[in-house]
Order: sequence, then structure tokens, then C-alpha cells
Amino acid sequence: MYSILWGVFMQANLQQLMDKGAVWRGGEWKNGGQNSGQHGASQFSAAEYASTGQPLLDQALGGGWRCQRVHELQCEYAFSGELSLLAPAIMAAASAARPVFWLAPPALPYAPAISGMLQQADVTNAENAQHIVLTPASEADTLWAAETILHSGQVGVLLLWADSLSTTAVRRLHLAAAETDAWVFVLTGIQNEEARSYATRLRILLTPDKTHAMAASVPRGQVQWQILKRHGGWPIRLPRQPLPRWPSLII
Amino acid sequence: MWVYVQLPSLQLDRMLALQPELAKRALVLYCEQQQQVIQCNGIAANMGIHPNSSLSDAWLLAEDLAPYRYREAQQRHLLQHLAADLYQVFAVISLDPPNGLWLDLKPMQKLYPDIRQSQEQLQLQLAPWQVRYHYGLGNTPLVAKMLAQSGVAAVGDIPIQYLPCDAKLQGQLVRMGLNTLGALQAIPRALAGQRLGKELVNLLARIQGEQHESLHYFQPPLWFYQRLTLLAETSGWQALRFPLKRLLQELEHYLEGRQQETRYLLLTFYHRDIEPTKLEIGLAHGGYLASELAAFCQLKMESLKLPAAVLEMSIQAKRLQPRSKEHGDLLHGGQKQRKSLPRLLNELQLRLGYSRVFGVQNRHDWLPERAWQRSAAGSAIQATHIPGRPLWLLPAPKPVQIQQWCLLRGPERYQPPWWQLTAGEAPYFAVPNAMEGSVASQNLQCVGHRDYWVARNQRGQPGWLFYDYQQECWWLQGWFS
Amino acid sequence: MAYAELHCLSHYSFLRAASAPGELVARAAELGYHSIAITDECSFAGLVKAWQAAKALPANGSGTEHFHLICGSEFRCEKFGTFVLLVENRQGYAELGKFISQCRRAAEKGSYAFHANDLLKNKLANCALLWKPPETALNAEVDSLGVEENNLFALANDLKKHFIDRSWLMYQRYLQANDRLHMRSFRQLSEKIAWPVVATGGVLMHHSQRLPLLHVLQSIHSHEPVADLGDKLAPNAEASLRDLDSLQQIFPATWLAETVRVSARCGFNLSELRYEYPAEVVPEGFTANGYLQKLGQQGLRWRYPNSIPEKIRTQLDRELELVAELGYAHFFLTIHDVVVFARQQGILHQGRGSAANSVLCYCLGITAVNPAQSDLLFERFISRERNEPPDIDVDFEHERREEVIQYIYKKYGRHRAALAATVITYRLRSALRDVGKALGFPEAQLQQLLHRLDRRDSEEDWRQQLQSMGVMNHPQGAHLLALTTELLGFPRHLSQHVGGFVIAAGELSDLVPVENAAMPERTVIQWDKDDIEALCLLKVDVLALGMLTAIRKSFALLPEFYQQQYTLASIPLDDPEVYRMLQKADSVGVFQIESRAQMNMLPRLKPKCFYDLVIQIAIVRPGPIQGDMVHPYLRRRAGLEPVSYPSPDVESVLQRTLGVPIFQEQVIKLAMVAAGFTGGEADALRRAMASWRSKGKLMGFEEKLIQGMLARGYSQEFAERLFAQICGFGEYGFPESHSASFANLAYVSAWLKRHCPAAFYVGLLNSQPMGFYTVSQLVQDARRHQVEILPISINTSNWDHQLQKSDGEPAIRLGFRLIKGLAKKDIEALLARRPTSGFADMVEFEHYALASSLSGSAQEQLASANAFAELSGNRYQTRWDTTKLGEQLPLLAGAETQVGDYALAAPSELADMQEDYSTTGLTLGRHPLAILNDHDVLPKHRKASELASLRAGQLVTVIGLVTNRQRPGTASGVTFMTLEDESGTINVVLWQDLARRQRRQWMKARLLQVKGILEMEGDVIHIVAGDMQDLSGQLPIAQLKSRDFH
Repeated sequence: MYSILWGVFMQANLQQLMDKGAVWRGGEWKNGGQNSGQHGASQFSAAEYASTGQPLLDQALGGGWRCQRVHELQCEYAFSGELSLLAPAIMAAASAARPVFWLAPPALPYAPAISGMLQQADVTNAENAQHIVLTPASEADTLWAAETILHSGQVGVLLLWADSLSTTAVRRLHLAAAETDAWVFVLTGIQNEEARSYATRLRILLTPDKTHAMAASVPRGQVQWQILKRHGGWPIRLPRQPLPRWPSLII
Repeated sequence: MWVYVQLPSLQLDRMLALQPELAKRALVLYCEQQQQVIQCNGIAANMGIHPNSSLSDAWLLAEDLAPYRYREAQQRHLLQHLAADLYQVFAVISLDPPNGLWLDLKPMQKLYPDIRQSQEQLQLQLAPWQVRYHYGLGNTPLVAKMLAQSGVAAVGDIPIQYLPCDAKLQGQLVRMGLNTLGALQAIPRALAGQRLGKELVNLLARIQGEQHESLHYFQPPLWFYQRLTLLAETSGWQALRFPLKRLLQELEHYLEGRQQETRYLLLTFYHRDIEPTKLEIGLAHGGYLASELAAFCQLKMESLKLPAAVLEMSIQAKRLQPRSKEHGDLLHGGQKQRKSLPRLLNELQLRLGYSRVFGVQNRHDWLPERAWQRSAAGSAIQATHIPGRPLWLLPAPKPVQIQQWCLLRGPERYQPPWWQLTAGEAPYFAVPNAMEGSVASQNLQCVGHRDYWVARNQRGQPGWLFYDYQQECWWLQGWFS
Repeated sequence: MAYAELHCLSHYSFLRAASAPGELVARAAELGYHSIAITDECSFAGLVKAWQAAKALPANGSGTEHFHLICGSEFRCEKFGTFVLLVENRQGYAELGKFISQCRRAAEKGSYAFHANDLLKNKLANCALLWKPPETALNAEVDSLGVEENNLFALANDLKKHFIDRSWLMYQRYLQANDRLHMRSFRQLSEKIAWPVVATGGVLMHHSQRLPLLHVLQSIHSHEPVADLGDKLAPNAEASLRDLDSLQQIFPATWLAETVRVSARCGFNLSELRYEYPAEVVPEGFTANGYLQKLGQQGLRWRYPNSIPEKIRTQLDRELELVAELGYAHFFLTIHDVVVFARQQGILHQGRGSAANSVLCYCLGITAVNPAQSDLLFERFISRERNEPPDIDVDFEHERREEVIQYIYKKYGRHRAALAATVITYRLRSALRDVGKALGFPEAQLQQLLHRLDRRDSEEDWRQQLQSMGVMNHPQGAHLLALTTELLGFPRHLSQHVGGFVIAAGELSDLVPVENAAMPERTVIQWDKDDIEALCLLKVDVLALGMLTAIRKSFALLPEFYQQQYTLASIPLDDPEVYRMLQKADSVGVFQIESRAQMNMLPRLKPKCFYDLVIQIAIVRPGPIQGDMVHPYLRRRAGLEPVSYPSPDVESVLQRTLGVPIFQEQVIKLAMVAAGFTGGEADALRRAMASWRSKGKLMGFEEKLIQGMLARGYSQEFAERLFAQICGFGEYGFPESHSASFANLAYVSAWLKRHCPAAFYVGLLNSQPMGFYTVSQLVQDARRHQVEILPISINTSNWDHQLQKSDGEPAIRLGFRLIKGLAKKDIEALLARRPTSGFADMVEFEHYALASSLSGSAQEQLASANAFAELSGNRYQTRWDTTKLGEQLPLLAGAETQVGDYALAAPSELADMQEDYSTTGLTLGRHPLAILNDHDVLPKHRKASELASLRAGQLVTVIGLVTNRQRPGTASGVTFMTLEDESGTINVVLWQDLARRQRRQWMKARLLQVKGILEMEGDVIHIVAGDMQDLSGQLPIAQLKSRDFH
């Protein structure tokens, strides 16, 4: 169980070490992290990985998002390109005619954009892609719904927005996710303490572009990904790059 | 011996029984397509309005006419309901939709030897219904019906308009002065056959009762109803689960026999001295397994407080329908509590609330906030051809400071539906005919439309804004994640 | 920056665009456009109206005299998108006109057949082509457009070869999601097929505020309410005429500049159209004027055999000289040719309209009104200022008019002659219903609104009526009123003019496209009569008049039954007995003066001479009534009021109508004489008067008129009263020329009724349906004039009613045409075989019926109409004997059923009467009232014949069959009703409040009892109704219908 506190006490130099992926955190590499202990070191074929759509990030994550796992994405503000990283997974679910569940989303998933995206990527049998939105009244209901959905086995991708999941809640999600062949993503704000055991934890930081000229061809915003936790690798901070584009947006 | 009950305004009378305040006006039920009156009340009748007079005439004759649409299905339902009510007294009933039914008195001979007693029973049974009716007695169904409809005393006097034969033949009979059934029956049957055709001869035979009348007989509708008295007064949910299980097993057995599934359960818990507590369970998709239904009932029971101890309980399963095929995935394998998608959705809706679990669907409309709609959870999204739409739509547009944004792409101009705005704020006023006076030359934009732009805020997030010319301000409609 | 709009639709592209041609042109000029093209879909229907609007506007740098209008048309093709053809010159105009005609005539009415390849096959060398590829092509990758089956590149290259440098790609932008994609496709396509790109608007409305109306039109087109149309509706108002700054932001500058270069090529103006008359009417060796001169002189000798009055001779010379000067000879010769054909075929005819003002027309036999009789105004006929051909309508017998029309088609050919169009526009009820449906009003509520909207009230205040019905508390109430107002007058579809023919020297489609009419082998041009007038094209009106048929049929009977022979012109004039008959209001069946309102006027006006008849016909019309000229005229005629004229000039004009202006011509003459108007200005006043209500142009004349009269010393009061009377005339002022032609026929029909009643009634009865009364009422009137009516008889009757000698006097034998449900062809075969002596008995009839395969139902109808009365007993028995519905078992057939095998009781008198009414619509037996009185089933009441002997003001009760209900135009909302009993008719007057209170009684009743006050004024007797009772229950007859003119 990784117990050293992170965040506030981090010294600048440790930070640089971190950047170069030179700091090794015990127990991470070999047995693929405690959370999947019961299975032993099962091999994961490529099919179980969904790309993030960004080669650098895929490589850093050892091939992309692993299915049967719970991945956490932390963003300073909602709507900063986080969904574009999950697009390949969503489309894979669509072509496998497995439902995508939007659990407590910050706004309404817009049907024309979803079907536009499916059409553009001309996903096979896109016509029976099911998207189900749930807006539970309380976080307890949200958790219950997530578990019920995962237990039902009828899910391709589960997207869950929650700001204060307890460690036990996360562990229950892990157990449930392990029994399905779905991708589970938890999207939250920036979290300081690291107690919860996610397969991967990615923090997305948007840095505004310096010049804010009204010129038509102004450079897009800059984004930086910080992988705070990943399977079989050190936390690493990737260089800034332009904000990824949601597939259906043509600028 | 047959009785035919004619109910000329069944649906209207029932409507009046429920809303007595309408009784003072001229009331008609009209058929939408033919624009014809089907049923009318007394006040309308003595204004000269009668069934199948045209709606426009009705308007002409009654200044303050109150027209309501005639509902075919409801009329059928009412007739069946009435028959079911009569079924408790008269064993042999045959419906004659839309507004009549036959009662066969022969089997009732033992119970009510004298016909007058049957008539009294009939009046007794119909009294609570508060409907206008008149009935005819005849030794064949056809005679009974004609007597009831024509209201004449003797069979011979029945005008030939009430004979069930085509209007052309009736016209020819009138042309020969043969105006009543009696006149027809006086003609030697063979000669009548030659002159007036076989159809009329068969009809006369039916009237005389020489031919057997094949009527199809009424059966009350089926639904499952079971009531159980508890061994001991119970007040906790846990205790109630066992009797419930037993009732559900019987229901499963009933449904299994008919290969049906139910989409509506009504649990009623009877207390000693207060109103029984009712618990309705609607299922988005049909169910029939006792275990499955038990789980649903438990979900609902948890959220309902029992006012007092329960002495008896009953279960009623309605809206029975043939089993849909989805249930075949039991062999899906895998671990505990595997369930089908429809069942999962049922569960989610029951627990979280029906309105909190929905699908999203496209809608053919220009305006962005009208271009999508909620749909049944689990339905697929149809294709669309509009490129460049944001993934996220704010439930309601948020005002924004345009200075913090830089416009990238647009405009797309859309006009919100003018017919929904009241005339005052409608972006619309009658344009004076340009030919005559000179139109004010200043450049009048079509007031009230919106220009949509893709834009980026200071943090670099791409969003979807629109400028509303009516309110002259900028709004955020959605985000490109 | 200059911009020319090259693709714009007016509301003549039915249900596709929301603005009139005039509105589009005016708005374009106002926005400073260089020019505008009106390009309706496969049609030139809106061009003339657009041209008239453009003529009134200054040019905007297009170098032309007025605002430049380009003529063009749009064609749509499913696979290849939208094409617009613009006319470059006069030759191009003819080519495009021909092309439109071809597309229209290859499809039935209201549609056209067009495929992109037609552009290659037809000669369009003088037209420019604009092309917008279909939406699917614009959304796809450009290089994929060469794909086989709809190969755009191949088409583009072929078109390029054909149109060379006159073809452009047409780019349109409506600020939509795929704008950028389309812009890119256009650029790539333009490069690939080397066509330049031009910006166009694809305009559907002149102003963005017309968007709601456009949506309503789209909703009407797709039969769905606006709220359900979703993205089928126009997304925004960009398809409107946009100001120059917006255009600059939306379109690249080069594509905008290109519009002016295209416009510069299209210099054609509609004023270049020259109309030439058909040449074949002038025989060899004659000039048009020479031949006309010859015909004129011949006519003079024919019309005035013994002595030609000097006034007439000089008038004829003056007319001929003016006709020669203005070059209208061909016009008269064309009409003369048609009239000669009619005379040869024995088709009765009579010219009316402005032609009746001329001696020339009378001599050519076009009109039958002797100019010497009435003081006609030559200026009204032809005037130098107006310089447009005269308007001549010729009425023909309505049953034989089709022969005249086919004669014209045969003589000039379908490619040179066609009927003018009439534009069917949205009236109040149709507009309200369609807008209501579009806004989602429930059908029942619309039904209610339409029903309770009283048609009688003039159109202005329909809005108040609707508001009082609470339409405003419906959320769409305000929209319903506003949009209905705007939809009023919008064209719905082209129909054919009642009889206006346009005949061209060469191809008609060089002047105006021709399309199919609804009726088979009829063709229609795309312009209506106002367009034709605006471009000075010749129009010949071939109209139908039922009365001419009736008169001709009566004339044919005179020799045999009255030993006399007459023609329209030879009827003895001013016969005092005829006028005495009319003065007693005994005018049932007489042309034009048989209506209830006329009958009320006849005893008060007491016409004594032909001119009195001319006045009688003109005076009972809404115009004079609203201008309240009726009462002053009657008072002056009865000598109760002094006749005074403010000046000798006025006296010369109004002397014949005792100082009260009644005719349109008088108003024009007064304007000339009293206010100093010239002939042309006066006629402009006439035209304004004819349509002042909608366009309100009359106000412009008020100032000029009053000043003119004040300058000539007339009092302010007289000037204002005259102007008020002119406004009162408005649409309804009746020209004296029309009145004179009608008076001619009225006198002839009255003469026949007085002197040869039997022939008069048979003529009328054989020309039904016509006129004001039902067959039953005409028969009743005939019997009241001692004309014997003989019932239908199988042995003597023919299809038509005919005259038969019956003890010396001519009697009318009713014909089989009277029997309902019996067609002429059913019985023709039988009548052909009928032995002259008729059938001895039913068996012999059966034999002949079988031989001529008379249908079973025909026999039954004859039996019920009691046609076999002479042969067998009662009609029930004959009906029984003739009915054989059972299958014919071979061996039993003959023996089994023979006549009289089953005796049926005879019908009662009441049942007999009922059978009469249900089979023939009338009874010769006793009047229903007489029968009911025998059974004394009815309460105590007075008979019609007794009323004359009672006191005025007495309370009376009368009972009668309601024979007609009439609500005349008078605004007071009074209703006339006629009751008929066995002794005659009773006139009942019903005030509005009673009508509304006892709506059921009078609206639906057939037999009505009326209690009211007797009113007498000379011979005119009315009962003002106080209370009404519906006694229809007593009357077993359902078929007794009344003639309702609302």
C-alpha cells in the first residue's frame, strides 16, 4: 500500500527526477500492482488496451487504457479535452454494440455530436450504438448505480463524474470492473491525497496561450498531462502540446 | 326469447355522470374525419341536432355548442365494462358494438320464470350506470334489435329503414309503397323472391327465426387477482416478503400457463380500520419470473412507509401481453446477478427515479437546443448529417463576456420558432406593402435570430457561443470537450 | 460595390416564395441593387407586374432608363440541381418562352417536365445559364463527381460547348453549418470545369420579416403544421434581399462583381414586345382599313334599310378614321370573323362592353344595340390618349360556345391562340383555413370560426368578428390574424379565363409561354387580363349566356305555334303591354330583372320605354344603392322632387337620368365636363373606380376633381357629393353599354313571356339550370299564366320539353329530361324504336324495352315518375311489374312473373305528390298546401291571394313552402324569404335580430308558419316577420329543396 504523502511536501528536485521517470516506487512494476493481485500476472493482449488517441500518452501508459480497470482523470476545469482521450474507447464500445453509460455528467451529452462522431469515424454497425445518461440525486445513488451497472455485465464503457469517492468505494469499483470487460473512467477535479488505488491517475493541466490576440489563426490552448500513477512505470510529466481536438470538431 | 339493449349515447352519458356541470349545455360527440355528430344530449336534440347530422349544421343550430371528440376505443371499453357488469346477472350476453347488446333470456327461465322479472333485474343492474337506454323483446335477436331501435310496439309496424339490407333495396321497396315489415311479410315468399331478390327472402327467414342466428358470446376480460390473509398481523417489510413470494409464485404459474408477461403490478395491503395502502409497480419492460418481480417489489417496498399493521394483502397483475423474446439470455454465463439490459434499466429507473435514466436521440430541428430529445433508455441514436457540433450541451445557455473569448468559426444563423413567442415579442410585424408607402430604409435585421460561433476562452477551451439579436447579448450553449 | 440579384422567386412560384414581384423590385431598388432578375419556376407569370413596378423606379447605374429588370426562369432537376436561364435579348426571350411552353405542355396542369439534357437539345443561344449543383454533390469530394451514373463533369462540358461563355456556377450562402465545405467545393468545381462563379441570393422574400409567412407557405405545401416541420422549414431569413454591406461580408468580392457582368449581358426589356395581329382576316387585294371600310358601309345599308340617319353616318366615318389612325382594323376584322361564323352556324350572340358604344360594331353585327336609341360615349370605346385596343366581349349561347372556341383553335392553331389566365388567389375563407391549419388550430375550432364568420359583412371587419369570437385567447390568435391578412391575395394556381382569347400573328409563345389548362385540349397563357392590357396585346372575349340559348329555343317554336318569326333585332319595340306586365312585377323568368330586389323596384320605377329598362337593370345594384342614388331618382321620377341641374353642362350629361348619376359613363362625362378632365384622365378615373377598394388610388383624384369643379364655379357641396357618389360606385358602378346590351335581352324575353308564354317557358325549361328560379317554380308561374302543362308520358314525351296543340292552345308536354337519375343515352334507343302510335300496353312496352336494352333502373325511374300512367294503374303497381331482381331461373322466368301477379294498393294523394317531387322535383297535382289544408292539419292562416284585400299594418299569419332565402348586399342585414302556397307567393322580410334568435326555424325549415305585420306600398306587399314556427314535420317530403342565394 503506497503510503508516502505526495503533493504539498514535494521538493522541486524530486519533481525533476519525477519528470525523467527516474524515481521508482516500490512494488509497482513486477506484479502489476496490488489491485490485480488475485489474478496473478495475467498477460494482457493488445485487445484489452484502448488508445488515448495521443501516441505519447499511449506509450507512457504502456499501450493506452487497460480494460477491466478503473482509470482516474483529474482536470482543473471540466471540458478541457479530457473526453477526446476516451473517444477511441467509446467508439470501440459502439462497434461492439455495448452500451456507454454517462453517470452524473457535468452537462448533457449532445446526440448530434455523438452520431456525427460515429459517422465520421464510420464505425461499423454504428446504428445500434447505445448511450444511456444517468443523473442520480446523490453520490450514494451514483455509486450504487455504478456497481449495479458493472455487476450486470451489460456495459462497454462507464464514465463516472464524482469529486469525493472514498477509498472503499474505489476498491468496490475495482472489484466490479475486474469482472467485466468494460473500460471504467472516473473524472474528478484535482485531488491532493493519493490514498485511493486507481490503475492509472492522469492529471490534465490547461495552460492558456500567452498571446490572446483576436487574430483568426491564434494557436490553440496548451495542455500538459501528468501521469501520477500508471501500471509498471514511474509518475511522469509529458511536455506541453496543443489541445487535442474532439473528433467531430473541424477548426 | 331475446332482449336487445340499445344505448344511443353511452359514452356521452358516462361523461356527464363524471362531469355533471356540462349537463346545462348542448353537448355533442363528433367523429373527427367525417365531421359528423355521433352522440348528442337532450338539449342538443331539441335544437334540431341528431346523430349523423353534420358538425357544421350543429354549429349553425347551437350558438354555444360544446363539441367533444368521440373516442372509438373508449366506447368499446365502456360497452365491455357494462357487459361485464351485466354478466353477474345474465349468463348469455352478445355484444353488438358500437352501442348495443343482446341478452338471451331462455337460460334464465329457471331463475326468473316471468319475463317481467328479467326486465326488473335489467333495470336494477343498469340504474347505477345513469345511461339512457331502451330495449326491445323479440323471439329472435334481429326482431328484438329492430323493435328496440324503431321503438314501435308491433313487429308488423317496423319501418323498413330498420331492416338490415342495403339502402338501394330499401329505396325500391318505398317506391312500391311497401313501407313496413308487415307489408313485406304479406307478399307470398316465392313471388317476393322473384321480384325482390334472394337477399330479401333470406332476411325474412332470419326474422321469422327459421334460420339459426350465430352470435359470438361475451367473456369477461382476464387479469390475475389473488388475495391472501396473513397468519398474523405483520408490520415490517421483512415479514411481508414471504407472503409476497407465495403470491408471486402463483402469478408466475398463471403467466407461464399463458406464456404471458405483465407490465403492471398492484399490491394492496389491508389494515384494520384505515384505508388500504396501495403500491403500484410499473415495468418499462414486461416481467414474469417470481424472483425478478420480487426484487422489483422489494425495491419499491423499501421506500414506502406502512401506516399500520397489515391483516391481508392482495396482488393484481394487469396489462398482460405475450412474452417479448429478450429474455432468452439466461445462458449468458458469468458470475452472480447477470441480468439483461432491459432488466438493468428497469432496476436503475426504479431506484433512481424514472426521469433520471434516459437515452439521447437526434431530432430534426435547426435550433441546437431543439435538435436533440430524450428517448427511452437503451434506444440507439439515428444518423445525422450536421458536422461541427459540440459534445456537451449546457442544460440552459449561460451569459458570457465576449471580451474573454476569441471567435474562430461561424456564423451559423438560426431563427428560433416564432410561433411559440406571443405576438408581442414575436420578431414579426406586418411589413407595410413596399409598393405603396416607402419602407423605413434603415437596415432592419430579422429581429430575434441567433448567430452561432465556435470560440475559445482565455483558458483555451473551445466552446459554442451564440449572439441573440433580440436580447443583444452573448450566450454559452455548449463545449467542445 | 454593385450587386445584381440574378436568382429570385416571386409568389407566382406557387407556395415557394412569400413576396409579390412588385415588392421584390421595389425593395431591390431601395437597397441600391444594380438590377434584379425575377426567375419564377418554369414561368413568366410574375414578369409583367415586376416590369410595371420597375418602370416607376429610377435606374441604379445600370445605364437603362428605369430600374433594370432582367427576365428569367428557374428549372429544378432532381439529379443535377437548379438551373436559371436569363434572357439576353428579344430573340432570347422568344427562345426561353418556347422552352417554358414545351416543359409545361409536356406535363399536366400545375407541373412541368424538365431534365438537364433538355438544355442541350433546345435552341437557347441568346440566354445566359446559371447552375447550382445538387446538395449531395456539394457535400461530397469534388473528384468523386465524375462517377458514372450522374456524371456532373460530362454534363458541365456538354453545357459549356452549348453555352460557351454564357454559363456560370451559382453560389448561394445562407450561413449554415456546411458553408465552408460548399465554398471549397465551388472553388474546386469551378477550376475543374472552367466555369466562372457568380454569387446569387436564391431569394424567396423581399424582407426578412416575411419569414413567418414563408414558413406557413412551406407548411401548406407539405400539409403538416409548422410546429411539426422541424428542419424542413427555412432555418433563417437569409433567403431575403440582403443589404450591400451584409453581402460583402458573406460573398467573395469577385463573385459579387461577376453579378453585374452577367446583368450587363441581359439588356432585354419587356417594352420591346410588339404585338402583331393575325393577317388572314384580310382577304387578298385589300388593306385592313380598306376592307373594314367596305364592311362598314355594307353594314350601314343592312342595319338601316330605308333611311340612314345623318348623325349615324358621320359617327361611322369618324370611327373608321380613328380606327385607321390607331391601327386597330385587324382587331375589328378578327371579331367580325368570329361573329360571321356564329351567324352562319345559327348561334345566337351579342357583343357588350365598351364595343356597344360604337356604330361600327352595330354595322358589323357585333352588337345588337341600336346606337340611335341610347346616348353612347364614343371616348369610352376608343380614345387617342389611352392608345390601347378596345375591350369587346361577345356573349354566345352557353350550350354552343364550345363550338366557337374550337373554331378559333382550328382557324389559328393551338400554337397561335390560347385563353388568357385567371390567377386564383387566396380569399378570406381559404386563407383563414390554411393559416389556421398551419398554426395547428384544431379542425373543429377552425370549422366553428369559418362558420360563424358572417360572409355578408364586408371583408374589412372580419378581424373584429374573429376577436369577438375569442380567437385572441388562443396562443396563436394574433399570428392567425396577422398571417391571414398577409396571405390574402396570394396566388394559389393559374386557371383559365372564362373566355378571353389571345390570338397572335406568329408563335404565341414568342410573346408569352403557353401551358395546359385543367380542361382537356384547352391551352392557357401564363398572363392574366391585366398583364395583357398592360402590354397592349389583343384579347377577344368569347363568353357564354344561358338566356341566349333560351331565347333561340323559343324563337324556333314561334313559326309552328304562333305563326310568327323573329330575330333579336326584329322584335317589335316599345310594346306597351310588355311594359304594363313588367310594371306589375310579373317578371319571373325575364332576363336580369327577375330577382326579388328587381321585383320590388319594378312597381316603383314603372319602366315605360327601353331606356327605362336600361336604368332598371343598372339601378338595382350595390353601387347605386350605397351611393344612395335610388331614392332621389325614384322621387324625381314620381315628381315628388324638383329636377335641378347646377349647370347646362351637367344637364346635358344627367338629363336622361333626371340629374342623378347612375352609369359609369355619366361619372366620366361629368369629370370631363364639370372638372375639366381630359378623355384619358377620365378613363384613368374609371379604371381607379373599378378597383379603388383594394389599392385606394382614388384618393389621388379627389383633390383634382374638387379643385376642377370649384374652378368651374360649382359649389363645394356639389363637388363633395359627386365625389362621394363616385366612391359609392366603386367596383359596382355599371357601365351603360353593358346595361343597354342586357336591356335588349330583357325586353326580348319579356316580349316572349307576354305574347308567346308557352314558347317562352319551354325555352327556359330546356336551358336549365339557369336564372333565379327552380323548374318547379317556373312550372307554377306558367300555370298561373294559363299555360297548360301536360305530364310526362311514355308514348308522347321526348327527351326535351316540347309544345303540343291541346284544344287550340299550345301546351307544354314535359320531357324525360325532368326525371332525376335518368340519362339521355339510357332512353335514346327506346325513343328511336317507339312506334308513332305509342305502346298499346305494358307487355308491348316490355317487348320494346327488351329490344332496346333499356336498363332495369331506367324502367324503375320511369315507373316512379308515373310515365306509364296511360298504360297501367298506379305507379306502385307499374313499379312492381317492372322490378325483376331475383335471378332469372330459366324455366320459371316467363310464367312466374307477369304483369299484375300481385296487386298493390294505389298511393294516397300525399304519397303521389311525394313520388312526383322525389323523381321530377315538381308536381302537377295539387299544391302540397292544398292537400294539407284538406286534411286540415295546419293551424288557421291566410292565403297569398287574400293578402291584397287586407289592411296595411294588420297582424297576419301565413303558411307556405320556403322557396328561396336571399340576403342582398345591403349592409342592414335584412333577409328576404319567399313562401309559396297553393294560391301564390308571399314575400317575407326578416330583420337580423329575429333571424339570429330563431335561427333554427328559418334556416332549416321547409314548411314555415310566419306571424307578422302586413306592409303595403303600392302593389308591393311584404310581411315583416314577428315570429316563426317550423312545420316541416307535417310535410313528408324530403326532396323539396329551396333556391338559396346567400
